[in-house]
Order: sequence, then C-alpha cells, then structure tokens
Amino acid sequence: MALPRPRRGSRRRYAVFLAVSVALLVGASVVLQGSLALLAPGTGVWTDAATASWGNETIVLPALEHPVTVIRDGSGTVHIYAQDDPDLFYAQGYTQASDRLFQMEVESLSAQGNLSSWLGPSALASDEMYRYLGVPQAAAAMAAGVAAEDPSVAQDMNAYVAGVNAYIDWAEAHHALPLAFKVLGVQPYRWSLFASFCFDRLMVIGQTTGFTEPLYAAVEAAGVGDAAFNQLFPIYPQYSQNFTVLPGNGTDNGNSLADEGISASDLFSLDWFGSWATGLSDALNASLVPLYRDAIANLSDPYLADLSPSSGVGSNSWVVAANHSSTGTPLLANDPHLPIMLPSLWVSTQLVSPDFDVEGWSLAGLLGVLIGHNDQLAWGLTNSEGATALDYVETLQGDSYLQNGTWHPLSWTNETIRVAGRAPVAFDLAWTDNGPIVARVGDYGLSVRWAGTGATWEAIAELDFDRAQSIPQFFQALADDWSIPNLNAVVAQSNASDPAGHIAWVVPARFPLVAETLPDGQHVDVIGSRGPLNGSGGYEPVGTVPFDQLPQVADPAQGYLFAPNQPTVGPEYAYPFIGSWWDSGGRAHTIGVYLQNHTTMSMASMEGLQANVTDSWSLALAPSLLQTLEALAPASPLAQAAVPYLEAFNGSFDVGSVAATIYTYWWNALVTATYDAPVSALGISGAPSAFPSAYAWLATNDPDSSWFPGGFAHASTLAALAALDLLAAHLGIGPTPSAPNVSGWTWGRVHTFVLPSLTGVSSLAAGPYPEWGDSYTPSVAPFTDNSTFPLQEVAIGSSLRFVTEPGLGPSVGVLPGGASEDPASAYYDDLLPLWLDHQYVSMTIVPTSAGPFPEGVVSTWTLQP
Amino acid sequence: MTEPGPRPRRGPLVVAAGVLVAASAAVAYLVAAWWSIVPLAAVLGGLAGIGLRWYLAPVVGFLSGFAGWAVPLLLLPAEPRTKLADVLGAAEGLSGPFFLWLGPLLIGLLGLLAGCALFCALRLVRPPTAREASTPA
Repeated sequence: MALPRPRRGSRRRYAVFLAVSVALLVGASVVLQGSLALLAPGTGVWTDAATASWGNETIVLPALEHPVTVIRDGSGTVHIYAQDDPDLFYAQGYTQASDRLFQMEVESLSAQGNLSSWLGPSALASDEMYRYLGVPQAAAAMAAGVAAEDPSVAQDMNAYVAGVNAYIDWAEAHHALPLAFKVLGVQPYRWSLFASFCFDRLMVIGQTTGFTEPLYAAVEAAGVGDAAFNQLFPIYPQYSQNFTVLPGNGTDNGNSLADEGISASDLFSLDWFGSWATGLSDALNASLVPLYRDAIANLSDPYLADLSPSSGVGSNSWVVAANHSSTGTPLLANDPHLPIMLPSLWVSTQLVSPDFDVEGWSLAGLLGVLIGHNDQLAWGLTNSEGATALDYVETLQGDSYLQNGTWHPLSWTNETIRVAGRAPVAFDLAWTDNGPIVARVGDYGLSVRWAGTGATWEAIAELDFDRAQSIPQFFQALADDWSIPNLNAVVAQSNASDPAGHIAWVVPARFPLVAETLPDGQHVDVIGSRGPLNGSGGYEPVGTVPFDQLPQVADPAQGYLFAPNQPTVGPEYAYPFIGSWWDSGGRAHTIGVYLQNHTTMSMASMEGLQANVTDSWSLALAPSLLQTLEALAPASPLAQAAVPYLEAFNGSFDVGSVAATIYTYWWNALVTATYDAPVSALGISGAPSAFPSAYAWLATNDPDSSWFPGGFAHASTLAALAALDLLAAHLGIGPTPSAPNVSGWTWGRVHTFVLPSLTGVSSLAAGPYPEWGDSYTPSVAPFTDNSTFPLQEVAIGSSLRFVTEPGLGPSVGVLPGGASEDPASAYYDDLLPLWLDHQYVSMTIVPTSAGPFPEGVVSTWTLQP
Repeated sequence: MTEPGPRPRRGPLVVAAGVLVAASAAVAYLVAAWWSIVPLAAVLGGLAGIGLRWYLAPVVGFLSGFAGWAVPLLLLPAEPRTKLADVLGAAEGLSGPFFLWLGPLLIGLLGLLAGCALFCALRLVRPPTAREASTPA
C-alpha cells in the first residue's frame, strides 16, 4: 500500500527552509571565500606554521653537481659546505629564498619601480623615483653584460638565481609561499639576474651622496643666504676636535693641495655656491627653487620613508692594529646604521667551497658576503659621504637641451608602471648626456649624473674580496670593480705565520671630478659641488679619482683607524671634497678619544665601544643649557630642579638619564625654532638636520648669528622654557608644584625603538622598547628633530654588530631580528633581545661541516643532485 | 498504540561519520579549498537529520565542517601555530586562539547551512516514515 505524501504545510515549510539555507549558504560562501582561502590549513597562512621549524632534511635538487650540506646553527647562521662554487651559490640562493623570499621580492620590485604591481597606487611615487634614476635600465645592462665582464661571476650569479627559483618552484608546488604573499594575495616573480641587480641598486641608492644634498643646499642658501647656510653646514666642520679617517692634514700617498700651489684655507673660504663654481647665478638659483623642490620630491622614496620614518643613516667601523690590542692580532668592529625592520636586512652566512671560506653578512637578494671575514682577512663598510652623484640644471627648449652652445635632441625611455587594481601608468623619461631629467619646470630641467644609471660591477668586486687572501688583493678587487656607492672599507689581515698582520682603509668610490677655475685663475679638480651645476657645458666630469689617489692608508703609526662617517681626509687632500656633506663627527669623536686612550683593545672592549652611549656634542652644548637653567632658576622652580641633573651630566644617554631627556628637549626646541621652522618655510621637507656641533661652535664664536634672532642666550632661554613646560605637562612634576620632582623624566620614557614589519602590518612589528643613545652616540638611536612628545620612535640603528679578529680567530655578531622572515618561526626575532642588551653570538668560521659549531646545530639539510 | 519500529542501526552511521570527517579533513588539507568541505558536511548533516533526529542536521553539519578544518590545524607544530595565530589575530584585532579557530568556525557555519539544506531537500523528496504517516494531521 502506498504511503500518503507529506502534508502540504510541511512541504511548504521544508521548501522555505531549503530556500533560506541555500540562500544563506551561497551568500556566506561568496562573502567568506577570500577569508577561507587564506585560512585554509593546506594552502593558506597556516602553512607558514607548518614550515616554520627547521629539521633535518634531504632535498633533491637536480641542478646541483655534487651534494651540498647546509647547517643552521642555534643563532640562525646558515653554514653552507659545497664542493664547487656554482653549487655553493645555488645553495645560497635556495636557502636565502627559503628564509627571505618575500623580502627579496619586495625589495627588488621596489628598485625595479614595479612595487605598484603588488601594492597598488600607494607605491606609485616610490616606483616613479626608481624609474627617474634609470634603475631598470641599469640593472638590465648589468644582467646582459655580466657574462662578458666576468664569465666566472656570471656562472656563480646564474647558479644563485637558479637556486632561488628552485625554492620558488618548491614553495608554489607545496603551497608554502611566505605569509606575506598570501596576506597580500600576490605571487612571486621569477628571480633573475635583473632582480638581483635591481636590489643591488636599491642598496647603492640608499648610500649615495649627491642626489638631494646639493638641492637642499641650494634651496636653503637661496632662502637664508649663502653665508648663513655655510655657518651651519660648513664644508669642513668648524668644531675644533674633529677627527678625519686619514690621520693628518689630508696629504694622501704624498699628494696634497699644496703640491698644486693651492692654499686649502683659501680654497675652503670661497663661496662655492658662486656662479664661478656652479655656472649658475644666485638670481637664477633663486628662480629655480621650484625646480629643486620638485627634484627633491622625485628623488625621495615615500614608501620607505613611511615604513621607517626616522633619519640619520650612518655607520661605525674601526680597526686596531696588533700593537693596539691585547690579543696580538688586529681587531675590527663594524655596525652599519640602516633602517631596521623585520625581517632583518642581513643574513648571517658562512660559505665554504674549495676556494671560498667566508663568514659574515649577506644581503638577501645577492650572493656572497658583503661584510665579514675569511681565513686571512676581516673587513667592514661604512658610508664615506663624498658625492658620487652630481645634479645639473639643464636648459631646455621643447624636446632639445642646450650643451656647449648647441641644441641636442633629448633621448627618451618609456616607463610603464603596472598598478594593481588600476590601469598602468606610463610616462616618458627624458635623458641628456648628463643623465635622466628627474624634474622639469618650464625651460629648465634637473638631471642627475651618476654612474649607477649604467652598469657597474660591485657584485664582481664583492666575490673577489670575499676570496682575497691579503690586503693588496682586497684593494685590487675594489680597484678593479668598485665604483659606487661612496664607502669606507676598513680591513685587517692576520694569520698563524703573521698574527700581528696589517690594517688598512680605503674609500674605493670612483668620485667624478669637476674641473673648477678658481676666482684667482687657478685650476683644481674637485669632488662634488655645493649646489646644482650648470648642465649646458663646462662642469661635466673630467674623469674620476685614480684608485691610488683615493683616500687610503695602511698600517698607520697611531695603530688604529676609525671611519664612522666623519670627514675622510683633511683639507689638504689633493681633490677637494666640495660636495662632501660629512656627518657631524660626533660618533667619531667619542670613538677616536676612546681608541686614543685605550691601547690594549680586546674583543670585550671592542664590544663595549659598540655599546657606548656617550654623545660628545651634548658635552659641548650642555654647558650652554646649564647656564640658561641657572639663570632661570631663581624664578623657575622647574629650572631649579633640572640644574642638578645637568651639573652631573656626563654625556651618557642611558635609559635612566634625566639630563639626557632635558638636554634633548631643549635641543629640539632650540633647533626647531631657529633652523627647522625657517627651513620648513622654504617649502621643503626632509632637509638634513642641523648639527649640535655647529650650534656649539656658534654659541661660542658667533652668538649673534642670523640663526639666533635676539642672540643665542635668548634662543636658549626660550627653548629651555618650552622644553621644561612640555616635559612637565607630559611627565609630571610630583605633588608639590613649588618643589617639582623631575627624577622620573628618564630617557627611556621618551625615547623608544620599534622594528616595523616590511609588510607594513603593525602587528608584525616589534616594540616599542625603551632605548639608549641618540644620533651622536656610537650605539646610535637617531630620531627626527622635533618637539613632540614622546619623541618619534627610532627605526634606524645598528643593522648588525660585528666584532672580529681576521682569519679563524674569535668573531661575534648580532642583528636586530632573526634569520627568518616567517613570524611563526622561532628565528623571526630571536636575536632581538641580545641586540637590545648589546650581547653577541659566535661568528667564528667553522671550516668543515663536522663542526664543532659554537652555537650548536639546529638542522642539517643535505642537498642532493 | 503504534508498534515501535526497529531501532535505528547507529553503528554504521558512526563509522560513516568518522570516515566522512577523516575524508573531510584530508580534503581540507590536500585540496585545501573551502568548498571541498561543504558537500561532505551537507551529506553528513543531511543524513544525520534524516536518519536520526532533525536537529542533528545543523549540528552534525557544523561539527563535520569544523572538524574537517580543525584536524589539519591540530596537526601543525604547536608553537609556531600559536605564535602565528597570535600575530595574525593581532592584525585583525582578534585574540590568537580565536583567530586560530576562526577558519573552522566559518567552515562549520557553512556546514551547518549545507546540512540543513540537504536535510530539507531530502524531506521534500523522501517518502514519510511510518511514524509520520500515522501522525494525525
């Protein structure tokens, strides 16, 4: 018997439920599909947890010729042992990509001017900047030319590229791309020589002097007058205790200005903004300020500035000879000051093959080791600040430019930038013989002449000096292939048969020389310029400084060398640095005095000097503040409370210092009122900071300078009152206003440090942490001068710290972060606590994979052909 | 008085449920597409609702979706999983543990809806049981 059908009401109810369920299911699926794809356990973000741990693995990589052993020690250092160089660099590419693929891709894309293809319009201005500088063309030329330049290096680079791509293949096949790719919803580009060379240019650009400095100078000089500008930014700092890297007056390898019959003091007292020096009259310069402003904006990377907003890139390095150390060998220290992010810029690496044994610091995206030591040598790098780029004002007429009295057609390259979510942005970039025109206003353009717009071969130099077995070989590698950027290279040599060894320093950059005719008719070839030069003829480079006449010295009698961005040579140097833009020399002063007074340096004292938080300029300027506070004290209980701290101030910027807080807020108020405000009124941002050393000099030698309306004492008083009021408002003064208590105004409360994430995701950042130091302490922690409360968070500092003997002796280092870019990894930020505490891990060379490894072994990969 | 019918045979259902959850988890991990879980959750929920109690359709649908997504997560190494959940959760303003289970919860929601949908669809096409047929209108 057939059963009756369900009742009509029940059917209707089920039909309604079915319709509602299906509708909700479809709706929720559409809404959630993106999130669910990201959260999928097999392909989404969780695979980063699955791959975060390093284990012992055998990985088949058919491109290898022989097995390669990759050992990761407990500090995250990767030790690679291979039987030939191509296998070595293939493995380096594979392991770097496994730890840093997103970082490599995003940094290379940035320099390619192609970041917008991932990030959309927010990266467009950044992309345009690298296009303006011709980076893609230069990288393409290097990728095409490296095989002809050095077939062996080309083979090594191609092996590295293949290793990176082998990892990309694996990661894509296993849904194991790094987290950031999944969060951003992007896929990696295939790695290439072009990608590596673009990244190379990114690093070079960040270290190049001469792009914007002459432009800022011209705008400021037009606004405040040449004399006032020169007071704050003299070519050579006036401060009486300046040290140069090259001991002495600048005579280098026996050459000096005096040999040419030129008086250095006369030469540096000239107005180098003058039309005789630049080919541009003051009136024309003033009318070109809008052009200079545009060029400054176009030569700035806003994406990087947003990620890491503090200024003050610099570096420390010093080396002591055996007779200045307690170990009987030379010792070397280096800590490059760069924007600090997660992941760290550097990759701690040891590379071993039959003709390669080097340990140190690689850059993710490039093969080899840039800073480190091998079995004979140790070396470090800092910025030398001399100009390797020149700015030219071009006279234009339609599509032509004027040169030597005749009109020439501009060259053009078409730049097309892909923008995620939008139509591509295309523009034509004009070039003159000097270089790309980065800004144009009416009939004038601003071009940049820079070796980096063409092929240069620092990548070859790096592999050559990694292999060098002596200082002459190290120098030869630089002489053959290093052109840019402007760097100091300090190097030490030691081995078992000659433990005392040698120390040396050179500035290997190929500085372009401009032939100048001085007002008295004398001729001299100079490096750089104070402002932009006339591009229509007469000021083009006539050559570069020959390598053997570059600033350099070996085994100086004083027994040590130090190169933390101060003037490299004294005024007698035969090729005057007119576009030098030296650092203030504050760190150099502290380091130099320390090395003078400590003749038996040890590894521990080298480490201690890296941790030094003494600001020499504060010692020079704080007496002015103390004088001001003492004058205010009778009427101001707050000033009275501050006086004892300033009286006891020893220049130490430790986190517990109250005097450091009061001094800094006073200095910020002073410089904001007297320098920043008038410069901001000129319509420029990001101008170089004025140095306390210059203010200290002016306070004594010209207290009525035009920078101080009403005099320095008046400016100091206003600044002190503003600073004390600001601090009292934010940090409090205790329960009794008539007897304020300022003991809680400690430096660590107002001065903090953060590590932003390269992804820009705030939760992936680390910090803030209370931080020691300031812009002028060897353990550096710079912040942008301002009067806000609290101070802008510090995001620049020692991107690595490295102290070493040359050769196989003790070696230590640390970086602010870890080996991996994966936030799920235990090696994402594991070294940060050590870095914050000025502690180190071993960087001693381990000659064979059998060890022992001082930091232990975390994992072993066997890479099989 | 109606004769009680034979008691449902639950053993095979439990086995089937286990197999489907395992299959669901395997699919989640291997195919790793959310839509691969939903049909399994629908079948499981729909059958449970039809074969046992109506309210089991959403419950089993939810649980099978949740379990299918959660099991692979639980197989991940615990420390990096927790660290990653904390980091990613913070980016979204969520606690780490909640972020960790967000995926299973969402898939469970889809499983619930799918289970209900299949249950209702089966109800529309399936002949009523003897008990239903004998129930007064």
